[in-house]
Formats: sequence, structure tokens, C-alpha cells
Amino acid sequence: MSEHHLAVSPLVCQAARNLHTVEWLSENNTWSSDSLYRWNFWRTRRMMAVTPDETAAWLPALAFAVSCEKDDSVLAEFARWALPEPLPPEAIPWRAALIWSWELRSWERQRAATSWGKTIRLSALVRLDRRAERLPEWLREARRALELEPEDRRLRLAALVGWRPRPGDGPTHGDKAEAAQA
Amino acid sequence: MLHLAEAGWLPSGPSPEQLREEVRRWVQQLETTYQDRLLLRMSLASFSAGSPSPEQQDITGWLELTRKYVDWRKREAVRGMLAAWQQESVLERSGRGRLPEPLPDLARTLEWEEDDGVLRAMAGYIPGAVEVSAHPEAMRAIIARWEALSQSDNWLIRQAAWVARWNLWWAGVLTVEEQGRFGADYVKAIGAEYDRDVLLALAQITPPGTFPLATWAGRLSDQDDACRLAAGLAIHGWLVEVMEGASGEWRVASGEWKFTTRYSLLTTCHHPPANAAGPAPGRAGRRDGYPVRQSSAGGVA
Repeated sequence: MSEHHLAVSPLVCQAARNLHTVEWLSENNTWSSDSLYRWNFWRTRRMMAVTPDETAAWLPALAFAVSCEKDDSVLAEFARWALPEPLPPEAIPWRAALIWSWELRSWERQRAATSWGKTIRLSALVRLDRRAERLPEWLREARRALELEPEDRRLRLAALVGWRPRPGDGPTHGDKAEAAQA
Repeated sequence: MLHLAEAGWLPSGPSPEQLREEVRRWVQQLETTYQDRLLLRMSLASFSAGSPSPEQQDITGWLELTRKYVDWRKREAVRGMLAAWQQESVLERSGRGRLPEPLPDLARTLEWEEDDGVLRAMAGYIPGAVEVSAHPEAMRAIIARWEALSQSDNWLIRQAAWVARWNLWWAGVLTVEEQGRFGADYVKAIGAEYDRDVLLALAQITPPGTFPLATWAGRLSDQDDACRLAAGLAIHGWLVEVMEGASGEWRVASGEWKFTTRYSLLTTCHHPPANAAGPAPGRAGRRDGYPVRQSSAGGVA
């Protein structure tokens, strides 16, 4: 295997430490069998004061945790994580990895997905779409939401409400006013 | 609508201010059932603080929704939203000011608030320097109240209080005396804490001063698996920092040093292939989970 010679920024080092923390924890039986314990870890993590870089440094660990997690409560906690804006350059692929982790869950669990499970995933994905890259998908989901039972519908729409494009970004196709009308 | 208006997607129609006020009125009028708790949390968690000047926002109306006579679910959601607004002002580095932090209001609320969910939301609220210097007495009262709450019989409140105390220390608003009390109380708590989730929170927060290795090591023989794991987490984090200090890897902070790394997965993963099983777990030699700007590896007790 070839060696990679890289100038490693403090941010990358911190991200590696955080990822290693979560990997280390995930190898422990207590951790993997107790969803409340995991929820408490991540809830505490989110309550703790951080700088934008420190938040970005948790993205690889979060992506790993999302890909492993089976409990909807813990996933709902993950969905509430806020991303720094703009992201440091090193963190852009980490954001992609986090989106990929949520996407993978959608694909993997599609057949068995509960309405609440899907709502959580959508909630996470719309919050990550600050660049307005997936508007047609959210519009489709909003239309589908109208077919759900009232309680599920309200929660699904509340999840989609989290979509917040950056002021500088427009829709991939068409203009902003047209998209907003849709 | 609010998010679209703020992003300039609505050339005509109500202004962001009008929409924000409408949302507040909706929250005010909402009957709170169990389902509504979820709905409120989800809606308000993504409800933006606004741009370009959150510091000019009048949050008096929102604070009215945190009063004692308001349902706890609503208080919890609004406090969570205010904390998220503050976090947003830190995370979105657009040069915007911080949200005005109503420290006197927070101090008054802490005197009577007993709901653990609301207190958890309040623990995430970190004051800014301007607000602290404007309201020094309120700040001291808040610190004293969190100190008292960290001795609560309710584990959820203890957990919230420890995180709040750490946040205040992190924000640099503790006096030398308060820092001393934080350190001493911390060591006492890790030796005596019987709740696994509170101990886990203690393992995640770095104490000021010397790392209490002996006390944490004592918890490694705890009968409770989760308490042992929390102790392992704290010690593991400290060991990693010690190793960093010993290897001189902090020199990378200057950006002048290149070395062979095992972290390449973190720097090269752009778009995983379609058949990939999620983000590849990188194997790194260090971990801690603590903020970059602080190091607790300076000593050991």
C-alpha cells in the first residue's frame, strides 16, 4: 500500500481523534447494546460549547455513528446537529460522507422504514441541503406527505420545514421565485 | 416561507420579520400534547435566528413563552430554540453579531425552573463577553445556581448542570474562585457519582487543572459496566493527549510539518462509490472528543 504524505491540519487531527473515540466506543458491548447511553453521549456532545472548527471536526465521527445506528431516538438526535457555514475546506468531503451515511440508511431500510424513521432521515437530509441542490426531491416528499395520516403528515412537513437554502444559492433549474411558488 | 424569504426566494409577500412573528403567534396558540412536543421541537430546531442582524431581534415575545405559567413542552422548545439561535450565530461565520443574551432573565428563570427538559435546553446557553460585562451580578447568580443544581437528586438535572458549568468555564466567564470550585467539585463528583449517564457526561467534559487520573482509575473497577466505560473514555482521552504531547505532534498546528499519516481517509473521501458501505472508518492513533483549543494533559493527580 502506498503511503500518503499529507500536511495534516489541526482540524484533520481533531477529526481523527473524534472518529477514533466513536470507533473505540462502538466496539464496547455496553455502548452497542444501550441506546439511551448512546443518546446521552450525543445529546451531551450537542449541548457542549464549540467553535465552528470543533463542530466540523465531529462530522466524520457523526457520519460513522449514523451509519451504525439502529435506534430512531439516537438518529433523531443526530438529525438535530447543526453544521458550520461555510465549512472549512477539509470538512467538505466529511459533509458528503455524512449525507452518504443518511442516504445509505434510506436505501438500506426502505422496505422496513417506518413513517417516523423516514421523517428523521428527511429531517437530517433537508438540513444538510443548504446549497439547494435537491429541491425537486423535497417538493416530491412534501406532496407525498399529504397522503399520510394527520399526525405523521404534520411531523413529515415539520421535517421538511427545516430546509433552509443559503442566501447566495438558487435552485439548480429555474429561478428562485418559480421554485418558491412550487 | 420564512427560510425562503430570508434566502431571497420570495420577491414579494410577507417580510421575514412578519413571518417570524407569525411563527411566534402559532407557538403561543398551540395546544401542547405529546405529539406537539415533537412537532414543536422539530419546527423550532430548524427555525433560523434570521439574517443579517440577529442582535437586533426583539426576543421579548419569545421570552414570554418561557414563563412559569407556560406549558413545560413549550418552555423546553423555546429555550432550545434560543440556544440554537446562539449556536447559529457562532457557527455561521458571516460577521453577524450574537443574539442578545438575556442574562438577567436567565438568572431569574433558573431560580424557579425545575423541569429537567427545560434545564437541559438552558444548559446549552453560553453567554457572550459583552453580555457578561453588562450583567456581572446576573452572571454570578447563574453560576451559583448551576453549582447548586449539579448536586440535584435528579440525574437529568445534575447532568445538565455539569454541562452548563463546563460551558461557562469554556466561555471564560468563571472567576478564579469559581474555577477552583468547578475543579474540586468535579473530582468529588467523579469519585462519588452513581448515575452512569451523569458519569458519562463528566467523562466528556475536561476539568480545568490537573487530570484526576487516580479517581477515574478507581471507577474502572466499578460494578456497573456503563460507569466503567465512562471511566475508560475519560482515561483514554487523557492518554491520547499525553501521547500527543510526548510525540510533539502539536507542531502540526503550525502547518509547516509534513508526515506520513494514517488519516488519509479523512482527507480523500469525496464521493463514495455507489457500492460503498458508508463512510470508511478511518483508523487513527488518537482520540479524545474534547475541543481543540484546550488541553488537559498538563498534569496528573
